[in-house]
Amino acid sequence: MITKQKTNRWKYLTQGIILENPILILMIGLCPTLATSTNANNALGMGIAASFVLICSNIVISAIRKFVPDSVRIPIFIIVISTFVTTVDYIMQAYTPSLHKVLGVFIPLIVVNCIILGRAEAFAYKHNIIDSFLDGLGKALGFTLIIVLMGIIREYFSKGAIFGMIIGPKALISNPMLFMIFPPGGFLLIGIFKAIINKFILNKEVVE
Amino acid sequence: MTKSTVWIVLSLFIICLISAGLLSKVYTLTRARIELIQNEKTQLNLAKVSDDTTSTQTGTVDTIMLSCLCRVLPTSKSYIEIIKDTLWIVNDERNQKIGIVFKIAPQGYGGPIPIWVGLGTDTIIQKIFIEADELKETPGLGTQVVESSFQEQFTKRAVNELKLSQDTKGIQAITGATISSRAVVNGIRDNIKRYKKYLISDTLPKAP
Repeated sequence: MITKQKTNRWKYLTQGIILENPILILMIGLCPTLATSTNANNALGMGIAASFVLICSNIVISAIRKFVPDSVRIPIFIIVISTFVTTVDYIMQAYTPSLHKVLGVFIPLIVVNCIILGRAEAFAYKHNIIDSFLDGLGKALGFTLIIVLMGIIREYFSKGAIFGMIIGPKALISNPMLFMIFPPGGFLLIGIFKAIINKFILNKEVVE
Repeated sequence: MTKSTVWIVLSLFIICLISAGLLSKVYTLTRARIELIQNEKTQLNLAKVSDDTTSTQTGTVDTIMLSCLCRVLPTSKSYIEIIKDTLWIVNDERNQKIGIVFKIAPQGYGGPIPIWVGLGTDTIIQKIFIEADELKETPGLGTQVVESSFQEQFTKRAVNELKLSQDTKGIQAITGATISSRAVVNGIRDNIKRYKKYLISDTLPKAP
């Protein structure tokens, strides 16, 4: 029984990273992913902000789930989530003003990010605190991993730089692939990622 | 009213109360820093100089103003404001006039582009500085005007060299942001013609 619980918990954590990756498998939270992954720095900022909110709201919602009346659970989730989002908003304004300026409206929009609301409704509302924390952590890692990866690739091809450091070949810097910072580049990249993950991971899982 | 209806209202009320309490705490913790950052920004951006500071050359506002001027004319030590918030005649430490600094905001693609221009006494541009904070250009394209690789092209240019071109004889436009680049180049060129009369030494008031 205990070992089963342990493997379950391990599963909650690791599932979010690849097998239940919010962006690539569940296909949720695409809007902030496309909008803020134009460079690696912004993507990391967005990933950390969303991760903080996701983990904290998962914990709190799981903790209060027994007191929450079923009919008003969604408003309560949103109040909890928006409390954390506003906290993040203030902290970023105070300590990373330039990042806050770039991410702009996407920070307040974390409130309605479907990853967070989705996990609250689908997982945290039905599981205990530790499981919810692990699920939040896993999904947060999966989200941050993909968004940062996209940020790195888009920044590299559009500017020849990663995290602001110029490392690309001269030909790329003088002739950058500008479309990578535009929405088409983002969609294309998500499509490529999805294709890779379908080919190598999902198929393997079905065979097993 | 049944018991469950009361609990629905009460639970929402309690959650809102806790949330409001937490947020007010976070707000008081971060407010001081947010205000500090915003004050710094407005002081640097506007560099409001009251009329009497030009003669005394002391005080914090004065230092901030000088640091603004030093961004485009590095050896600035004192200045006379000719047009409020727009044009300054700049002296070095021996009270020798080294040039003028003017601030313009030509219309770019998304809004005005705030530019500081430092013009040496030989009407050669010493340096330009484009403020990143208030820029409303397209992210990733027009916003590249703040990058040093674009701004450094203006260093040591005479007024007749200020035109967009493909080679190094003129200013190379940013790929995909021709309107922003043209706004910067034309704005600087037109305003040099307008302000260069202040460089002719006999028409100038001597520095105090």
